[in-house]
Amino acid sequence: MSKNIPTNFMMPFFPEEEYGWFAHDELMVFGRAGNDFQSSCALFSHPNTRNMSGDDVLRLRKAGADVCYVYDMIDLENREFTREGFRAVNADLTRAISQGFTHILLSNAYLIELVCNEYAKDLKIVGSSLLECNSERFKVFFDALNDDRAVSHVVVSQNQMTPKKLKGLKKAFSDKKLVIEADRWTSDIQMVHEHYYNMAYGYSSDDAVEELERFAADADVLQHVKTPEQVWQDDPNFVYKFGEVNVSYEVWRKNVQKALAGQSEQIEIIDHALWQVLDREAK
Amino acid sequence: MTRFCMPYNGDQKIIDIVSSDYTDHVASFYGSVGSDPFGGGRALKNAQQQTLGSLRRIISHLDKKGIEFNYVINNTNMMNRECSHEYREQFRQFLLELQSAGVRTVTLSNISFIAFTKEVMPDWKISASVNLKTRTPEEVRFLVSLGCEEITLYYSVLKDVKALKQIRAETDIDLKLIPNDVHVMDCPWQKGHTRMQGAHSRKKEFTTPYFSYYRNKCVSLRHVKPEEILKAMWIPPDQLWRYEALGYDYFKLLDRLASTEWNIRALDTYIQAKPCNSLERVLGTYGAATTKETPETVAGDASPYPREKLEVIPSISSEKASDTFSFFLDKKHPSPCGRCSVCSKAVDSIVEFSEEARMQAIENNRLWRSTITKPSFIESLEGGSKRIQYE
Repeated sequence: MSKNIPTNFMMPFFPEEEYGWFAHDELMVFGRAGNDFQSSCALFSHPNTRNMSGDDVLRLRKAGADVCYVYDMIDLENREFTREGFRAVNADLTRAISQGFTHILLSNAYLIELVCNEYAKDLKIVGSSLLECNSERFKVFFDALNDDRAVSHVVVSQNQMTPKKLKGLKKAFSDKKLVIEADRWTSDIQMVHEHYYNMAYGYSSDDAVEELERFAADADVLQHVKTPEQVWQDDPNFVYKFGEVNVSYEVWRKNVQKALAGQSEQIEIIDHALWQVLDREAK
Repeated sequence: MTRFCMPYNGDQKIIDIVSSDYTDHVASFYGSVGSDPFGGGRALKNAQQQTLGSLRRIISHLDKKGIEFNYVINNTNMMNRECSHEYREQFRQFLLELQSAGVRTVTLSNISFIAFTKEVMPDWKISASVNLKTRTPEEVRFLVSLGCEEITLYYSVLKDVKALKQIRAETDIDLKLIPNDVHVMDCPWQKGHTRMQGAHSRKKEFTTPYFSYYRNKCVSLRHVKPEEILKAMWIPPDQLWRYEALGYDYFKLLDRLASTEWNIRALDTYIQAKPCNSLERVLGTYGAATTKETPETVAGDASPYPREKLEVIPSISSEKASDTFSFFLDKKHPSPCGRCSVCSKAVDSIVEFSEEARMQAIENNRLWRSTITKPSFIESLEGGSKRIQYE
């Protein structure tokens, strides 16, 4: 059976990339904006993480892309509620707007509420997969906001996803674009998924990176990680997200090519290698 | 025979009452010394803080009565501290201290700590926390493979008879259900809420404020959509028998933050297993609030969480609710729950709200939410913990 070829994408930022080698209807480029309140996060401290300057953002926007600020460290240990933390977060948001970012990827519920209440005219929100949106029930999350119109996209969580649940999700979220992560670590053993992501979005340290490296290569764990065939959702109406702020260019490009060629089963789960390719000297 | 696991709220009285009058019903207590270096799912009040010495006396007393004490370390995110040798060594020392206090059962929610604890304390019973979200036979198998000998299942299974049957068929170990938390079905705030509690309950070098941000989410939702009370993952006392018929006879009652009087009353209500119209009597969330008065306007209120203006308490007609709750475990009930309109149709005749109070609360919540993202609100949180107090 032939596969639908995706045309709507979320792609990671690469400084020299023009994103013109593949056809697309919609393109959103995501990346980091340098030092901010979430710089202590293990994933964002990865030495391969590429930060975007204001010029980068402008270049991408001139080329017709939306540009998304990756800010989805979910657990801030309640520091977002301190005077200093709140000020720092607001300073990051203000800077992102002045740099021209159009979207922000968020997973912390309070920060989503903050952007919905205070920054809706300048920023749209992409709800992170860390929110675990994988059924129509997730709609209640938005019922408890004063105004959720700033949330334009939601990244679907594929843990314990079923075709029936996905169908319900599409119906329930007709006012938002659903994003499928094509190459990420998901598991039907929820605690395996959460353990990995807790570490990836925890504080950075050499010990944490070593543990991430060990966990991501543990055969007992890997048997519970979904294969690309289980993850792929064949529907051109979705937005397909490839890569991460620190994925290697070669792996990203190869994965996109496989998807465009209808060979989604050959997509590489990027998390397997993410922590093993670290240049220890670069840390 | 129905068994209950009771919350230890830091009050010696609850130990005395249960060990004197309820030994036929209560198989265990769960709790902690309050704030410890690793954190748990509840941030206890200062008055509830205990020492290892008092814990030792409690465990010794309970041992004589044949009641187990389960020490809870179910912080859902240690933010990678657990990866360091120093922190693991600190954890090992803490386990040894707990051992000297008589602890032999521990509830954990971090899978690397489960393996580590099994290594350090091979004879201990490890109980998997509800925060691990165990809801499939595969997840049960995974936890058993890690060495867990007891699991508190995730709330989502309570209205999924197929999952309940499959999981029960998977293992003979104790599987506990929590019947008295009005947990939002497939709660989208669970992850953030448990992490907020975990961070707050951990002893640390810096202080952060706490306010009832996540609590307010489900409270608000139930005002706007009263059917969520029926959809929520709780079991009325007169419906426990349906779960026992499926092989689930061990129930963990909340709430560690509630008073001894309230906890004993909830236990009594579940033992009696009769219809109960008063939600405050069994559900910790509602038991925390004490007023049914019409909320006044919230504008201008100085309190970070003016509970009396944001929350109204409904009651339910248990007799009318019985049919609806029985349907949850009927083979015709769709799985996952939420794909039929039974709750929506039944809610008007089962859930009784003061309509005026409900509408005022909805408006108050809307106003309150518009303030919580302002600098002035954050400044009002300075000075430590600001949260609702359970009476």
